[in-house]
Amino acid sequence: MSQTLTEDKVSIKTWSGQSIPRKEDGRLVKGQGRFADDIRRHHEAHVYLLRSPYGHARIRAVDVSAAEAAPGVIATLTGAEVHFLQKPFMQIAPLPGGYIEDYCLAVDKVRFMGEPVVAVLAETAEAARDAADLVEVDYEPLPALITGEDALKDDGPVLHGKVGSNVVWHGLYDWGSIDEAKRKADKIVKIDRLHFHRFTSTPIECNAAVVEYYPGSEEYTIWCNNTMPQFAAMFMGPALGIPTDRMHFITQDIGGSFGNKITNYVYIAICAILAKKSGRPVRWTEYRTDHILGGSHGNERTFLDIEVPVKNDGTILGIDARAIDDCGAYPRYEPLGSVIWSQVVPGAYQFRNVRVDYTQVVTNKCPVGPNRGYSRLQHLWMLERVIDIVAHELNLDAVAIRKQNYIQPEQMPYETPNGCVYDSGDYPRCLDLALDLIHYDHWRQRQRELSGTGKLIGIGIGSTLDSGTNNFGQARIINHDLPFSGNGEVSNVKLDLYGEVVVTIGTTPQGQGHETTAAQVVADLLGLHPDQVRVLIGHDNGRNVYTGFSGTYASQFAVTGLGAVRGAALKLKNEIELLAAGIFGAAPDAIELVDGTARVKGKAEMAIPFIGLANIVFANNATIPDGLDVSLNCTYTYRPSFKIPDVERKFGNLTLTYATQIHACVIEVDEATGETKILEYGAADDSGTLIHPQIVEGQVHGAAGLGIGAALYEALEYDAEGQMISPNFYAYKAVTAVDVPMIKTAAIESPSPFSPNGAKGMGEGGGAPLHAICSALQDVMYQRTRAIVSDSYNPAERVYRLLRQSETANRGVHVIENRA
Amino acid sequence: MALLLRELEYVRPDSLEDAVRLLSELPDAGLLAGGQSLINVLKMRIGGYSTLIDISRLRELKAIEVGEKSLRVGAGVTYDELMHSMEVSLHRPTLVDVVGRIADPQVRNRGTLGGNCCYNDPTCHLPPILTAIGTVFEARGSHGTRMIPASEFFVSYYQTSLGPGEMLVALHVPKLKSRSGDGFVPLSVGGTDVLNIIAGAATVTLAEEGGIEEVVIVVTGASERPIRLESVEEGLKGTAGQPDDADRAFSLLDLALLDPPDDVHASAEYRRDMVPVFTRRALEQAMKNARRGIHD
Repeated sequence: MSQTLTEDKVSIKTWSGQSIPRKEDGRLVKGQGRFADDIRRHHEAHVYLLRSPYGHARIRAVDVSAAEAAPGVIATLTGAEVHFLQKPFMQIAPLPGGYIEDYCLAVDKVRFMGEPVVAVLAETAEAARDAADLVEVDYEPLPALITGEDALKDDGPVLHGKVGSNVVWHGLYDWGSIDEAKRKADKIVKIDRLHFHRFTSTPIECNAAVVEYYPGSEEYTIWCNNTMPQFAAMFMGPALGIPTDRMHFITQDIGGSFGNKITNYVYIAICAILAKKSGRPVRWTEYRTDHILGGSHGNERTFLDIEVPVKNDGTILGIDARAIDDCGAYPRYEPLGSVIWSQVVPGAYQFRNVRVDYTQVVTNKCPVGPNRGYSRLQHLWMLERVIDIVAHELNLDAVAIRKQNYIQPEQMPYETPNGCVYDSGDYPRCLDLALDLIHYDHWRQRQRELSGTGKLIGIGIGSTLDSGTNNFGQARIINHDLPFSGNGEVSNVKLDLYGEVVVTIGTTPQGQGHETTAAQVVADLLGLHPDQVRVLIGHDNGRNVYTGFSGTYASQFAVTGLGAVRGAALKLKNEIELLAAGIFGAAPDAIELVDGTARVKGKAEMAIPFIGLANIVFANNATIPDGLDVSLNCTYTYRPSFKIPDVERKFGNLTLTYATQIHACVIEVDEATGETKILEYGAADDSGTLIHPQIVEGQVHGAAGLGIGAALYEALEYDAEGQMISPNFYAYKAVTAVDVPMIKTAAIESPSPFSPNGAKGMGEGGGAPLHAICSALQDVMYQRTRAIVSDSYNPAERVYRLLRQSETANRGVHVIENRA
Repeated sequence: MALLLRELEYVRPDSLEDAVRLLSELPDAGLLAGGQSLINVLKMRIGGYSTLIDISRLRELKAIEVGEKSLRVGAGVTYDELMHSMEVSLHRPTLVDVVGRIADPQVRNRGTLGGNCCYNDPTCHLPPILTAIGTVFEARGSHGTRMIPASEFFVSYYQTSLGPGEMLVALHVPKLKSRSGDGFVPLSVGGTDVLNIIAGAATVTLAEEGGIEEVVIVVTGASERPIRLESVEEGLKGTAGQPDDADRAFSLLDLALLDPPDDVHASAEYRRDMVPVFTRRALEQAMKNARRGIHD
């Protein structure tokens, strides 16, 4: 915060592109942030949720009489009441998957351990908790369904009877001609099975909401940390019979989400029903164990029968695979993930023949929701596994095969086989940068020197894309009847009464630094210091601008959010210029904005500060120059140029920008124990034009940390009965700062030709560490047993087993010579 | 799933004597020291007490005294206090190293030695190393004081041999003898050793000519309690402690001793395989430390 206006203005041309101190950090590091749980309402009451101890069970009876009689208890809510008060939440899937009935509390059956069964509302959180012990629920346990593959078997349990199977959605994606590619190939590499495991991003702040109902206006005020409130409203409104304009969502500071908080509307719905039922403001803050049990998990995906036609020189011609995605007990945001992966069909590669037979199923596990890298990281992980396995089976160099198959910079913009347009990028250069960061040549040499000494060194690469600003029209590929397309965000930039510049946006930042970057953009356009720009964060659909897409998710703020801010600031700039021109009798293009004043270029005496302009419009408007119609209150909606995809061919541009993340790492594996130690870690990224390089680097670090945790330490696991065996931090080893090695970063900037400022959305990271660490482990295995790293989760024990896999065991990989 | 305490009584006696008296008088009372494990257990409602007796401020439990052959460390000494104790650094430096690996500064500021031992979580750091170095536990109850060797103190998962109304007041840690060294090597979940799947601990004393005179090797995570690998110890005694000697000694490992758990962190089979790996590494570390003493 030590920069001063004069010093900075001498040394820099624009605020955009500078790593200025973040505006939000002062309050956050001092503990002065305002989060959902900081809201206090007079006469508020507390919710406790009694959750299912079973993965799958029929509810025979629920008796809340003793709980209701307990001291301090105001009301209870059961599934039977919910069945009466709520219609099932909307399903995105078409029929028969759309027959799934999802309520905010379990009705008749519980389908995952931790599913809320009864809500207790009491004067204190302790009283609610104690009373919950008095609730009697009679369960009839049912056999549980734990894996996606089992969900497709004919003789297993069916979770949602009306659907007739456990399939939420099925679709065949088929672009180019994979059959012809197989005929033309020299070899076909077959991989039996790859499994991407279940984990989550563990936001520091769990879900929370305070809901208040006003009978006079039938309005609900919802203070919460939902990160896509209008999506929540779309689910809650019809289900609860509340007109969506009577749901007033307010978000403030949010302690991380990574997508996980998008689906917390289920819990907000419980609070809304209780608020109306009790006439009291209702508070709910989730406990960590409850968050792990019943918050939101990442998608688990199994790839089967992968076939990769290749030329002898390593040219990959395509991929043919089956994918089974396990979305847990209720789809909620799903099955959107069943199309979102196709934003990055060929990853960074040139092959053009792809067939994926994709099925999403339900199981007796916690429902999934968007999770950093959502749905694309599973697919990108599979592609990177394929690249390494092909390289090793054909005895090709892992770097060379990538460079050879990468889409080249001169091919940009590049249309993928399914009509997506990669906007810009230089993948080979990013790879070189990543390899330099880890001293690649040195470690390759060390690896050879150490061969046979018992020290096992592995080098891995993860090349991924972080697609951002999605075209909601892709939802129609899932369900042709969905009335969605495009994307957009809205912002209001105005002069306030005393000339202050105030910016509002419909987003829900949760650590991305929106206040800072929005201020940089506005400061540049209006001739101000970012400290002179006030950015009000949070979504407030009762008082503030918003679109149906508003929120913070899917790597897009730099494009949609800042696009909206830029548009609104330009409109305000135009109004200020018109007003000043009218005052000074000059042409509008003769006006310049400098240091919070509007002045006629070259005439220092013809200047008026913003406070003077505001005074004229807001408090002295008899003096407005004749014929001017200015409000100094400007709103702009940014809308990327998208078309509706061809739903039959599953073809179209699904995302606007593609940031590149290429990570490389060096690991040492302890042969005696299977422990992996990261010796070097490098991340090269290309996020287009950088608005704030340090914020981007911070996102790279964060995504790398979460990915490293997922690759080595974190798995959400269930036993055969559907009991979650990792429901707290004792069993779920969430990665912490001390677990993350030193991360070296490098960045290049390939401006996006499609975004208003050349920037690309970024922040999810494409799961690059999972790919890079699995790649390095594969590099180790090829020095030993040639076992295949077929799972994305590799704790010490799994690596230990792979190192001891019999050389004659079925490795699950076959190379078929093409006789044709 | 529910992280709130049940309502309970709380008392904070001013003296150890009062604390011991209250512990035997009050029905269903538990001791609260640093609370780093106990509060979690109570919040999860796995276990419960009707009264908590807060002993965290009792000065009698905070002393570290140097005796002729051993250190007497008060049960209420926190990890952080132990780490910064000159006496412990001088006379049993391994404890400073081991305790410094526990969790993070916040936990170390509150967690106590006595609490760690009485909780006896199989994933904790202290039970194996305290067993290996021959710690004696001083317990006080209404009938007076009792000395319990580590081999009898740690009974089973989350259980010690303390009786009803009995309280751990101090740990008697033998001072490191000359030509001796300790070792502690855990296999941990995650990148830091917050939670140990297996922990190997060892102490050795070398003869003047460098051979192994005394050795104790202990493992946790392989059974319900810290166990000594006596057959391996016997195999090592009198040898030079070279890799060949260790190979021979570890081939004598009595696998029947091992009854490891099978849980979310590791399978029983993997734990079994890891026992010789981590105990041997602990032995090697102990040997190294002991030899450093000789050659310095």
